Amino acid sequence: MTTVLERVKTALTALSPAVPFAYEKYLTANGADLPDAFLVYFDADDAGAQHADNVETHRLWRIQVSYYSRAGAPSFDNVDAVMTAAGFTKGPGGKLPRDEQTRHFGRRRDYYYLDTV
Amino acid sequence: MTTRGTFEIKGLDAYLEALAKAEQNVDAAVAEVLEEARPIAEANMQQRLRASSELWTGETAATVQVTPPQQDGNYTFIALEAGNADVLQAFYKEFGTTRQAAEPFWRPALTELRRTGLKRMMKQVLERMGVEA
Repeated sequence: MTTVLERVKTALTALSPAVPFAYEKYLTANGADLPDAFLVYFDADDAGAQHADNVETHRLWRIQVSYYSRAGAPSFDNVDAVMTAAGFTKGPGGKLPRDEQTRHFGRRRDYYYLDTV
Repeated sequence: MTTRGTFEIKGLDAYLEALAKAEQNVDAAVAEVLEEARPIAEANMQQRLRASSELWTGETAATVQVTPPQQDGNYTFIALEAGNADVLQAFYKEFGTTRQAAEPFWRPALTELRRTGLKRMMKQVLERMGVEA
């Protein structure tokens, strides 16, 4: 059974043009610099959404995708397209503070997935 | 950068209708529910903050607060707040940075309050008022 995080990974792999991404934190080898643009995704929370006879039938997942770019405020159009194609719905988003050290601008968006348990 | 969020509670219509039918003050009942929710919401945020933090300094915890119920027309609300212009750690902790993995505490607390907490409290307030929902 495909997990929700596997669905996110598959969706982001389909981005065209491709954007490097990682779960939770983008790690580089041997102190190499971060890419000019990259994505980070993680499960912000998950909660039972529906029960039948006290047994959970559906769980709602909230996935945050953060998009960092040195070129300015990133656009989520392509990310929205692959995530909604994978069955996620768009949630709230917002700006992330520019990191003065890595020089990345950032934006984030939550996506929801109602998983059958 | 203060982290502040609001959300709508759905599924409470039956309770509110019962209050109105019983000629009780709906606004007062909602404010009472939210006032009861305040310490629970704050405790929930603090507990999640503590549980999700690999490194504990207490700076973010010191900024966590839940405002008293406020009314704007028919809209009654409380605000769950963390962080301020001087303490940005709350924002970084909740949403992450290029170099720091996020450790959400505020959104999970909102989710729990929205999904189960407020409905349960509304039911208890109605019972105290002698109103059947």
